[in-house]
Amino acid sequence: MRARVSRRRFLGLAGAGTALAWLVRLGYDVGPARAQVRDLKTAATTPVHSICYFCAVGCGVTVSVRDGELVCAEGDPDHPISRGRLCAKGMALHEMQRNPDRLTRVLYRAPGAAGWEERSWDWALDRIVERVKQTRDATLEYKNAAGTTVSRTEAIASLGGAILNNEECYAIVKLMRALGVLYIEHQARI
Amino acid sequence: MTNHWVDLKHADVVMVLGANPAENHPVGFLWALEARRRRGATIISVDPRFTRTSAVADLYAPLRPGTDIAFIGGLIHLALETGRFHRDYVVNYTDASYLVDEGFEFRGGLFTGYRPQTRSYDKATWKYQVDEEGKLLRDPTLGHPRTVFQLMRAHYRRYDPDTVSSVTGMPKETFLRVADAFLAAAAPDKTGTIMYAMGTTQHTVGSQNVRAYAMLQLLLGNVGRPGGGVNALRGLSNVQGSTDLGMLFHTLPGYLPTPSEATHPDLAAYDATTPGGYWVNRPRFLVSLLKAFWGQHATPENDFAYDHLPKLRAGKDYSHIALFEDMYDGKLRGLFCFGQNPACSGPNAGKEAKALERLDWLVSVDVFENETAGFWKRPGVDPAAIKTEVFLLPAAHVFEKSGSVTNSGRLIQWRWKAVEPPGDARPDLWIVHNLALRLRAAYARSQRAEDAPIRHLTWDFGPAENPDPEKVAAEINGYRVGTREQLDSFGALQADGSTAAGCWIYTGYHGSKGNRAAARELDDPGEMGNYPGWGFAWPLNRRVLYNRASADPDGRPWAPDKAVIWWDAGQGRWVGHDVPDFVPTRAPTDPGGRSPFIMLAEGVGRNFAAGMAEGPFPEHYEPYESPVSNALNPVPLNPAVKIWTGEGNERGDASEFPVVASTWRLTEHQHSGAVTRRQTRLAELVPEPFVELSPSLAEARGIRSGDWVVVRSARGQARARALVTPRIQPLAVNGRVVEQVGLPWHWGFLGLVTGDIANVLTPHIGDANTMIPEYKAFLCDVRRAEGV
Amino acid sequence: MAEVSKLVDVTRCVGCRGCMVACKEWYELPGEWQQARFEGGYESARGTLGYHRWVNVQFYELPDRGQEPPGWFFRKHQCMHCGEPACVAACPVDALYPTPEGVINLDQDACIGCRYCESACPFGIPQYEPERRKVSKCIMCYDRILEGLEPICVKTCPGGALMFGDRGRIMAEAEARLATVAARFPEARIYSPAGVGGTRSVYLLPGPPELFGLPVGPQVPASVTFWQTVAKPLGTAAVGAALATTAVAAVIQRRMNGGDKGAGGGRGDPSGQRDRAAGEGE
Repeated sequence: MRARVSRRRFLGLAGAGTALAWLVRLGYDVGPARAQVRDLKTAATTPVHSICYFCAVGCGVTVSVRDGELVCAEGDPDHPISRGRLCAKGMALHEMQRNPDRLTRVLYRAPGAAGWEERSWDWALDRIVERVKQTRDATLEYKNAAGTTVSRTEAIASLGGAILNNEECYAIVKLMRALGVLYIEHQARI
Repeated sequence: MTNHWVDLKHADVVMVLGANPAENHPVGFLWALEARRRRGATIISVDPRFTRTSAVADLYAPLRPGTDIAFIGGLIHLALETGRFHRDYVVNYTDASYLVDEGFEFRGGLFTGYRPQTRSYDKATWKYQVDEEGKLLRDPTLGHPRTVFQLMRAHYRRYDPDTVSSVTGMPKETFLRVADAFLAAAAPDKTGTIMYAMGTTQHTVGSQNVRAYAMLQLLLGNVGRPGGGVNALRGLSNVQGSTDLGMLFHTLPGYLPTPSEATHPDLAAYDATTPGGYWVNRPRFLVSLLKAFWGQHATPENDFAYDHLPKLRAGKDYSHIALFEDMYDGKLRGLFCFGQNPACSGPNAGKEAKALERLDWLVSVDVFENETAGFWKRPGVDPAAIKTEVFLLPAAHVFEKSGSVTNSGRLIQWRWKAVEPPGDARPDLWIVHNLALRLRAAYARSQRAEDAPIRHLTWDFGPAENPDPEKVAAEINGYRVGTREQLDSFGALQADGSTAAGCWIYTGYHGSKGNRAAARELDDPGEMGNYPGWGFAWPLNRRVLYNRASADPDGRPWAPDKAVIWWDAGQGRWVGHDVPDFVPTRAPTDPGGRSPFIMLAEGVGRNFAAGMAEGPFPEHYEPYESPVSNALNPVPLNPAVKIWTGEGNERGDASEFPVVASTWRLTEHQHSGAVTRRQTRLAELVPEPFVELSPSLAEARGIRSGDWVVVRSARGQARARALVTPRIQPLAVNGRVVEQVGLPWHWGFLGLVTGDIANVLTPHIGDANTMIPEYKAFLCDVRRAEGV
Repeated sequence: MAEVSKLVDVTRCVGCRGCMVACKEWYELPGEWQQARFEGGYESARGTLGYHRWVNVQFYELPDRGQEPPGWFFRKHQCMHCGEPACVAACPVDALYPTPEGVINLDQDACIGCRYCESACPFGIPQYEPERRKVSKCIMCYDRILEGLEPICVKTCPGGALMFGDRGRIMAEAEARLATVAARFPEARIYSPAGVGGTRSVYLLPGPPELFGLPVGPQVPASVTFWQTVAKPLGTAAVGAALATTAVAAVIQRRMNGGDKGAGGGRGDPSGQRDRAAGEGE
């Protein structure tokens, strides 16, 4: 969804400021002062609406995009809770996105290895599926001693989700429960 | 939150305890400041440390960590003994007038029915009295000695101001000033709000802390009303949504209990445990969930694939602490971590990191490498000795994917993808989607019955390369099977298999009108700040929960400037500025027309809560590690908590660890710091771990501000810089002086700025009901670090 | 366009430091984490400004002021945008100049790194970077102002501590707020000192300025006025000669010798107590 940039013209037109007056009084010629004022960095960008990644106030974030690149992330002035505001963490969202420390490759650490190796998605997904299937098949308890169907594995756990989207949380829960996972926990507990 | 962020502006008094919103929710806190600006609201900050919230509060009251119940019990005592409670509300909307079983009593620090061997209660007497027809017995005058009201009075008589002061360390005069300020909200035209967070919940009595707040708010008539409520300030952007969607072992999406082999061996048994109130509809919600999970394979004949859901082992705890204890004992083989970093954020983090070594495989999905993914190279270990296979999958940033998040006020908001993820980074949905598709394929040819849950799993979220979050949203929301007509209310869900819905409380967020999480209308009826056209608040877009209680028994608002909904006799329905959290056509004179708490069978707020593990009334017990004995009763520790023993679970004693410690968070960092310590601009703001200590403790230990110190507990030690400040003070407790320190736990060994992991200090012990760890009160000692 | 001002209300600031990060986001300034270390308080770099840090929130613990609750205050430190800007007067190349709105703008391309402004400023604002041989400072988001937007710090401020607009409106708001906080803070006052021609960054302080690291009666240094009226007209070509003959040379010499740090704001003394009640140091 795209939004229109709201420009609020709140400054009226009036006479020169005190500083200017003082300098003129001292014979200062303001003319040659080179007005090297840069263009507004968000000019000619497309704003996209988001919600802050950090706490659960749910502040609105306006993400300005130009040519597929993020130019700026600042508070969404229309948001009824945050009204354009963001705290120190919220204002760091852009740096987080373009951070050179970000993981951009699938990394694998073999048993006993001292470092990471880059792998492809295909390789990693297949290998993970293999490990999950192996573990599940070896540990699945289908019926308990009383004969009740329990469909569980107590050898696999899933942690996390409090910074994911709802739809991602649901997909994780759905898959994990289908696998028979009971150890499903996340940051709400801690 | 029962209410929501903007609603805070209606408060006449704001009590912040167990939270520090000026630091941890600065933008939300502006609405509390707005209440002061607009209404002259008094802001009270109750905290062991003088925080940035305290700095802008009108009243600051220090409190020893772990003594909230003593403090709130004292307020309840004063409210009841001085008549500063909202009588009409209490009589009509709470259980205060109900009579309690004759056999119930509290003696020697314990309620009736304690079984020391199992550290649990036989709750046979924890119940209301009923007549022969099963009707609840009441005394609306509240005078009968067996009323909840009189039992409550008797229970909290011990919580007099002197005792409260002695237990909490809060000066008596301060306590009385806070009481005067907050109990003023008992007036029918006033409301007060309580804002709390992990300072409340992360205790062995965490649930009872919240219960105590709820009781106080019920007595003052503050629940269901603008500017009132019991408001949990959640810490992470979607911790509300992830909880709603069942990412905890004990719940399925929508707070349906996870089936247990003991109590729910089959669907009929599950349904037989259905509670009263609106929960009578639970069978519809479960069957709709099963239809969402297993579609055409969920049929009436196979109990809608009920047996495909895993069942909890009887009596087994699968919560965070138990999970890591079991992992430490070698019982787990594989772990998925989606943006979670227990090697830093887990309690007793040293033990939890060691537990990870016993895994065969670990899959970590994150935007940055964190200390959990890199646990095999943490300081002091030999990677060669660690045989765990680790996959570190690059996740997309929040701006690189679309989807919804649910804020603390239950408001579901959509965020749109703005840019492509870099390199091979992918949204978590893409990762789960591709794992699910490949797992389903891996099991496709299996004939085994136990593999049916995967083989038959409905997974219609789009092509492998491009899963569509809107398709997932549509399934969570719910639809009519066959027509795929999207539903707008969970009232339409059925138990016959004709509807499917992944999470009943979210029904309506992606209904027939499309994606309401994406709605951005700014209408504000009555200028109440509810903005019903902005996003979608579950349930059914209700912004203030229990809002029937915002009107008096006859359906008129208690105060004209605090009107949310009211009964319109002409139209024969509830009308107003919010969606009624009530049957819209049920008149005040109808049966149940004066029972606002629709999720409960009795329809009124509970002061007497038999569901709690350690007693129907909150009672003060000392933290697991405490420097003092319990001055209110002879039982030191919550008698219903599980005590974890064995390797790595040492318990500290005040003789060796005389200082009370608490942990907390900063505005400049998030949780374990795995993200924020990677940002140059945040790393600059707070680069190194520190511990706040009082000038007197600093003097006694020869510590100056900026010195490196070592904080030691029975479980480990962490280096930190000293921040000596008068904002943290020793407290006079039971006639002696108790020093306290506080330290944030945002550091680890990876990132631009690093530091010791403070959670190596915290214990593996949790609340008796929720198993939430006691991060907030433990014993330690602080010494100058040698050689630095 | 009218003269503008920015209100910094210290009675409302919650110290979240969103303004610091917002400023860096808008002007793409890196975090200076390599040098960052904990110095015994919450502030970054002891509350000082830097070449890449045009804003810093200073934390003041004032527990003994007899207030209830005891005081802990947060003052956002940035360019004051003086009505009689000593930096502008001192700048030999007009890299610093007042805009018609009263903003003291900085054209970094024109800056020759002479550091006269640094010496002249009574608030310790301009920050010199030796490798680039340039100074930097807050320009009140002049690029945003020209587009009718408020400065990014004002926009992001959660506590309502910052406000931007027409100077008349800002001064009226400051007066109104002063009246409402008078009961809580009997010593509260507005700070826009006349000695520098009033400032476009206007503080509402809960107490006397010296408690918050601000100079009590800042003046444009006489040497700068002399430079402005007598020496500067000789032109930039004569900078060397002027240095030899004017009092500015003495000012610069003192700074080079490590003295004369300027009155408030510059909290660079590495031996000082952190979070002390101001007025005792610097």
